[in-house]
Amino acid sequence: MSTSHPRRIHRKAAEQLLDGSAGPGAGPDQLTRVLAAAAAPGRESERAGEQMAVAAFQAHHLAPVATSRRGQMIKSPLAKLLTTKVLATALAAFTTGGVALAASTGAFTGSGPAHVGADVSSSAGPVSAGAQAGASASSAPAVRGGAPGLCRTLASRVESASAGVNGTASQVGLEQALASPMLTQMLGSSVFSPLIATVGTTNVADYCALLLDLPRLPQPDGLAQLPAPVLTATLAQLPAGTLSQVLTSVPASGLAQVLTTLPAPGLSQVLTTLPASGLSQVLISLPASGLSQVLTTLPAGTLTQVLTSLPAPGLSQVLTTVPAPGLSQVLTSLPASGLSQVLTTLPAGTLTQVLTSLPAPGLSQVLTTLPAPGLSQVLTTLPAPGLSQILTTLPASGLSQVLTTVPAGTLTHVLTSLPTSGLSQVLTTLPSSSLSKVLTALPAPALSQILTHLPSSVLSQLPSSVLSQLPSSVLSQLPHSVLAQLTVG
Amino acid sequence: MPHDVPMDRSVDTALPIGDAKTVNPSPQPGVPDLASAVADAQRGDPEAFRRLYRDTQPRLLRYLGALVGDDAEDVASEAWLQVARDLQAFHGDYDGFRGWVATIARHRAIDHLRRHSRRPPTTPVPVEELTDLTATDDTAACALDAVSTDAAVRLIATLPPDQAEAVLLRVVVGLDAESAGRVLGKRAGAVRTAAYRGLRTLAKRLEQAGDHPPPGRPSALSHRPQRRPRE
Repeated sequence: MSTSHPRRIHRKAAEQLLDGSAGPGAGPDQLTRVLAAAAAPGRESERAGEQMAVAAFQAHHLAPVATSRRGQMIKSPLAKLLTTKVLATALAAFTTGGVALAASTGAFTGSGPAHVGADVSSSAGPVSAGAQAGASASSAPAVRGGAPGLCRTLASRVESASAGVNGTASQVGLEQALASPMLTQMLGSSVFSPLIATVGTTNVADYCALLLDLPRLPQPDGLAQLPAPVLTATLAQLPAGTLSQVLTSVPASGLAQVLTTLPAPGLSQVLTTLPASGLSQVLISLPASGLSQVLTTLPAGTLTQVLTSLPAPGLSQVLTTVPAPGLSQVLTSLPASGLSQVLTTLPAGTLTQVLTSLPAPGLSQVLTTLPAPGLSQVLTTLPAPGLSQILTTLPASGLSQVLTTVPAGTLTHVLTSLPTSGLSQVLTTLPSSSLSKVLTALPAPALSQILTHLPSSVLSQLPSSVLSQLPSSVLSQLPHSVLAQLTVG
Repeated sequence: MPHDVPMDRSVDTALPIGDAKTVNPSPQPGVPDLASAVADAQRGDPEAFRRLYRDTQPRLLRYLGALVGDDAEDVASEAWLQVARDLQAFHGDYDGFRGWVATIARHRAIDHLRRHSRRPPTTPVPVEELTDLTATDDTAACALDAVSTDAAVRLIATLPPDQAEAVLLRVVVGLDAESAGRVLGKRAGAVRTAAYRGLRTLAKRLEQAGDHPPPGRPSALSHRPQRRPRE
């Protein structure tokens, strides 16, 4: 044991040593040097988590208003998860490959940077290429491979440490590994600290499941709690299959909230990413108001794409669910070709329901927007009562345009299908020029059939200029009173 | 018997309380104005947050090393997640920020120890490194390399826990006695006493190591209580 004694350190000198203001001789040289070494400027190896921390910061500051109060703690596992997808995305902007994602073991293990680098390249490196196959291919795949790469490394370490997991090359094996109780133990390695830093230890399994596109997904109840920008960025990042799975598993009320939270561009991207079946399932599960809001938010191009990609049953259900004002807005915002495609896809009953629910101006705009073939198909698809209701709802100008647009065959079908009352109203609504054009377009037998069914009161309202153009074969069948009027006129 | 080193017990009350001067023992060269970084980061500036991280994280890692050993990196990551989340709720300047982050990190470290129900894995101080360090001439001391920083921090970590934390919070994290007291849930005077004792113990050990390098000394932290103190 040494017999020497350390020089007394007086309070003032101690204070100077502690706050770094000590000059030479303030304390024992060795102690001064030790303290200076301990307080030396930071090294890069001590800042290995920099990108992850900044990414976490950015994720939390995407929507400061939304997150500052109620939403500071996002509670559901999926919400956390999805936030981390945003983290991963933000991270991608800064990092290069898996190396930057992996943490160094820092100053206390005695392992230098070279050791850390080797550890990372052997674990995260080889797996990064195959990861995130479903993600958008727009930016560097090596960057996106980082976190999934770590997940695969984690799974393979669990596999080698536990008897119940076999073959993490398969989805089943990966799932087994992520579900293994060994997972937490394996996470103790600092290699995985980026994963823990991103989602926290308890969410690593779910996070990896999402990153690796495994079927096992967490409960997405909290999806609607995410602030809109986070939600948008998150959903827009998901590959189609996962997006479909996530959205179709959200309860209806939450789904409506999710979709109505999205701004138009995000909503467009999400809905156009969904495959037809998923899109159909998502839209038909929405309550009427939510559906209406979603569809009326979409720009015309996307709306057309969405509606025309729906299979007939889904389209029917969607259009009959939307309340009239929204439906009118939806249909009138479609371009002619899209409108035609949508309406001609619908079965007769739905078509009737849709068109008869429209207010007159909307109906008029819809029917007059349709190109002649589409209009013909629509009019000939409608059953008589619906056809009557629709035609008698149209204002004169719209009715006129509709009836003078369709070819003679359709016109004949339409007018001879109408019940007398509807026919009367249609013919007396038309301005005389259009009426003349319509009646003269009809073949004689049809015209005869139509006019002979009309009551005298209606016939007498027909302008003589129209009656005088009728062929004699038709005229001869008209009641005498009408003929008398014509003669007098 | 390092604890028998005479220490003026009146230090708890004798020293001025108003030791408000907060120190920054290792200002980072080239780091622009950390004073404004907190406010800028609170306004959402990621570069400001990055500056805060770059200056604070090395301090934090060295401090956490004394608490959780090799798990310092993990615990620091958890702490930064919380910092990123709660930054807008923080009120104060950069000095206060370091204290706040240290408090969060300490809580996470204690949670970590409780969760793992195990003692922190600490490495015994390699005495050769210390003798090398203390034998370094002045020129070399000016260029202290990474290994010597690690060795120095590990040496401090071998102090009794209250002394180790007090010294690290003051010397490495750069807090004054009051701020360190708030981190530890103690009075400033108690922190001063612990820090002074720590310095004396260190000085004595260094002197002994210079004379007769002893074998690996058992870690003082192995006596660390498992319960979270003063929560």
